[in-house]
Amino acid sequence: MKQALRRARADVLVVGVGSPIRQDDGVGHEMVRLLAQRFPGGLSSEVLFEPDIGFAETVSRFAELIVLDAWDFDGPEPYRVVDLVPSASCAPVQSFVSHVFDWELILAVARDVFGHVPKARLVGVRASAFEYAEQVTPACMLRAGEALEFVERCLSLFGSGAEVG
Amino acid sequence: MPKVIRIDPVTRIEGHGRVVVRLNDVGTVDDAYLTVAEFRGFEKFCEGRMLWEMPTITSRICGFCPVSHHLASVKATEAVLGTQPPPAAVKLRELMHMGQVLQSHALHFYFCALPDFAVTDTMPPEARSAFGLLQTNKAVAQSAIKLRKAGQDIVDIVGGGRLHPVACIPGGMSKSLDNYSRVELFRGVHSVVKLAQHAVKMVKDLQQKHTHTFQTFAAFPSLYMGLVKDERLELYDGAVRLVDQDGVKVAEFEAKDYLSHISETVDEKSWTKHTAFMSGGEGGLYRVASLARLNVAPSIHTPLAQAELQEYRQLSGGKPQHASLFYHYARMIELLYAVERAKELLNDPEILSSDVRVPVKRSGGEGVGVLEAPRGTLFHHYQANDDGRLTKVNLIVSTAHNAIAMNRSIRDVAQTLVKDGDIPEKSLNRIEMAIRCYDPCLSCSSHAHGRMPLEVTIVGPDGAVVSRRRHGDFPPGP
Repeated sequence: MKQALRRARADVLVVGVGSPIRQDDGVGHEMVRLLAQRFPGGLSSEVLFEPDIGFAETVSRFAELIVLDAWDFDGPEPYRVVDLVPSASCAPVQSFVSHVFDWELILAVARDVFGHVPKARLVGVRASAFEYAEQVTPACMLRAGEALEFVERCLSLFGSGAEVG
Repeated sequence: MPKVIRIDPVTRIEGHGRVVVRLNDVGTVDDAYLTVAEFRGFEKFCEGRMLWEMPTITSRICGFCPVSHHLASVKATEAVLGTQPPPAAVKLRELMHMGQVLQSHALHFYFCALPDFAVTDTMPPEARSAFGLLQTNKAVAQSAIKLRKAGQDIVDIVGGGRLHPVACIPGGMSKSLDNYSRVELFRGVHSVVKLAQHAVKMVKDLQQKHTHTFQTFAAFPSLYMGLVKDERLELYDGAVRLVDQDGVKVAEFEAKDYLSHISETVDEKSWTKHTAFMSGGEGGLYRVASLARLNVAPSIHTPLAQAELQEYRQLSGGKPQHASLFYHYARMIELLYAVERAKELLNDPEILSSDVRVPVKRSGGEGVGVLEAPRGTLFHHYQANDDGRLTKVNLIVSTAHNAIAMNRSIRDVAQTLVKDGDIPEKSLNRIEMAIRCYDPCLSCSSHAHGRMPLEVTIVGPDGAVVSRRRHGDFPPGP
């Protein structure tokens, strides 16, 4: 059941993105649910269908942002991690839809309007099933498990200066 | 030589439309109108669907006012089923509605309307947008985002979805509100009270700075329609009232009787329907939305908004305000009301009740739901057979109510701007400004910002294109 964002820790925000009624697209939501069980009372997390401009204010209050999403890529690895970098300008290059912003633009608005941009990275779990159904496929959940280990290492090492390998 | 000027598409509105200006032989305006260029067809393809699916289906009509359709739909559905939701469910729905009004009004004012005043016509088109503001005035940008976010958070938590809510079901709500979320939402709306007051101040400052423009731009008397309850502004539920240009009540009726007062016609030039008040003159012209609501409602029951209303009324000597730019002013007073009302509702202990749903029994019949969407009075009217399968669906959205008035505004403005059969580039925006006063919703969820693809096509009497000009083709102004 949807609740207000719980700000259990002010340093890292974990966001699961996607549609839970499109099979593997809901893997980000599922990962947030599992993480919340592993960090009871100790995780700031949110689930979204897609981020909008208002989310810039939210992310600007955190030191680090971890976005969990499904990623349809070719390759053997279970997940990929990429740094999210704010775009040079907070004005979209093309026209925009008010309720859908890409992360680079949200980070740019956080920087330019709210004065702080978190270190941000996207953890994309390899996914291939996007039909209308409510469950993430078992194969995708196995890959999500590996990605979660990475995210847990990130969370435990936060502030130590060490980088997760 | 007669000519046709097209502004296609109109920017910084919700949806896709174009303006057509018809010129006569001497190069002045014969007629001008807004054409809605998209076809949605919800009324037709919903026929055959089950009644209880409608709140979820119709919230997809628009990405700006999904809550309005969600709520009007569930009210119409419950009218068919003869069901009354529990008091806590009604309060949760109104709270969701306040969130929608807050986010929608903030989005329209800051992102769509304000650039018309905060930037000049001579600036490059790409700078004449919310993102031009975003980069030049951080305080305003922060206000815009924070106000909208406070509303969106309410919709998200209470409605179960930031964009398309799902929580309203026939008989009540699918979930109650937990206390943690209630406290967080209260903190959110409380934190934007001052921003809402500042938004009203901003529009007052604009009105004082551009007094003549505010008083004369697309100003004409008309009838006005809106919901009223206990002689106060009402956005969620109440009687439908129409007043004349002097503020005298000319009709008041329950939603179910709307067809006895309002007629609909199909406009061959547009995909939107036009409505008319059947007992009114001038083709039944009336207006809805913020300007109309404040002309119809004698008072507002929240203190800060009421104080602003009194000041607002003084500008028109206590009579209805007829000038279209005052839509923006009225809209910000309503935004303040939405913040105050959301706080009231969140302070009400009953909002936490778990008694949010009553059982419903499958049946058929007929029902009408009405509320004040941010852009005006919204009717959903359903007929269903005994299985609950829909046999007829009728939707009247604010753009239909305001269609005749918008065309009148466009024509009035065009008549002052088009000279010798041509149109200066900056006048394109003036014509769009007339439309933006009404904040029309063209039933769509995409919105053109950034480089405005505005184009004017001049067509000769033989139908051949004489010239076509776009924003950016024009040299900078003086």
